[in-house]
Amino acid sequence: MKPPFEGLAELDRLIHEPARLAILTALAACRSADFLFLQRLTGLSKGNLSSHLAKLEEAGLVRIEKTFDGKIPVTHLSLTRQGRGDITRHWRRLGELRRHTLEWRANDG
Amino acid sequence: MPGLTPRDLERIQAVTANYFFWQGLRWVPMGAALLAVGLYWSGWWRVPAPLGDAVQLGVLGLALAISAALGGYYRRRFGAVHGIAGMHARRERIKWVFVYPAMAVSLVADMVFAPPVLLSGFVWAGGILAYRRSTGGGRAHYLVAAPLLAAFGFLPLLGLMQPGKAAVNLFVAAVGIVFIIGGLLDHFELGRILRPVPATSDEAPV
Repeated sequence: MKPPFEGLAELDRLIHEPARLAILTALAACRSADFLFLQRLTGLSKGNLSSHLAKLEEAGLVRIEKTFDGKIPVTHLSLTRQGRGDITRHWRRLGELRRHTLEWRANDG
Repeated sequence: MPGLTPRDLERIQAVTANYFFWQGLRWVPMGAALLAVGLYWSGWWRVPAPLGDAVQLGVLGLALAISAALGGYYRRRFGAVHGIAGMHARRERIKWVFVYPAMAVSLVADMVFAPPVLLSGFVWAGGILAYRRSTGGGRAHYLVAAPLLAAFGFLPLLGLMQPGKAAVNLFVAAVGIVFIIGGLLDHFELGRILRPVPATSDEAPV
């Protein structure tokens, strides 16, 4: 049986970075979330979170909308159709890798 | 942020998808109202008879208003999440078709038939476990609250309270206490997951 490490190289690095994976996982569980929620969920600073979101938006995975709640500006984030598909495939790939690793360990041991 | 484990990802998914239910402070006024109503029915809280119904309605109305206002607090302090329509359709169906009717029927059965063991204790304990499981797990305090409510069911059998309406009245007050303590602990757990925003001077959001 081939070792599972080869599959790691096939993972999308844009998605697999921990902060971005957390952001995409959260957005996949809702229609949209605001910037503050994602900031508290990830523990990232505004600058870091903005930078990750800009990369995800550039890749077409995340939609960023700015609105106002009264006079307070609010940034709403949601997944695009492509983003929802990509994160779903990524989880599936991670699940397969995990299974493969466990089988490989069992056969190796 | 450091590496994520599958468990971290599951927790992120669970809290985001069930954010409303993790806003524990919203359940505290409802618990206080149930406690007040239970104590009123038990005769522990004395209100002049003509005012009784108005006071009960007032307490419940006030609890709903405070609970709604606390939604604004969560939006400002922890942020907002908009759910996916129909995402929890199965849970809602099971809740309204099986769980809530079973809870109501058990209360009525306990009042009407006055069994030596309070059925509501077991049914509501099951309801609490189902609630925990269907709203994202975590919150281990409900694993303590459920057996306590079930144990409450044995109090009439042990002669520690009268079966029937008297037991149901006190049970409602006990459920109120579970709501209050459970809500506070939910809130603390949410606060641990949704950490305070790092204080930096960097730029505004994208």
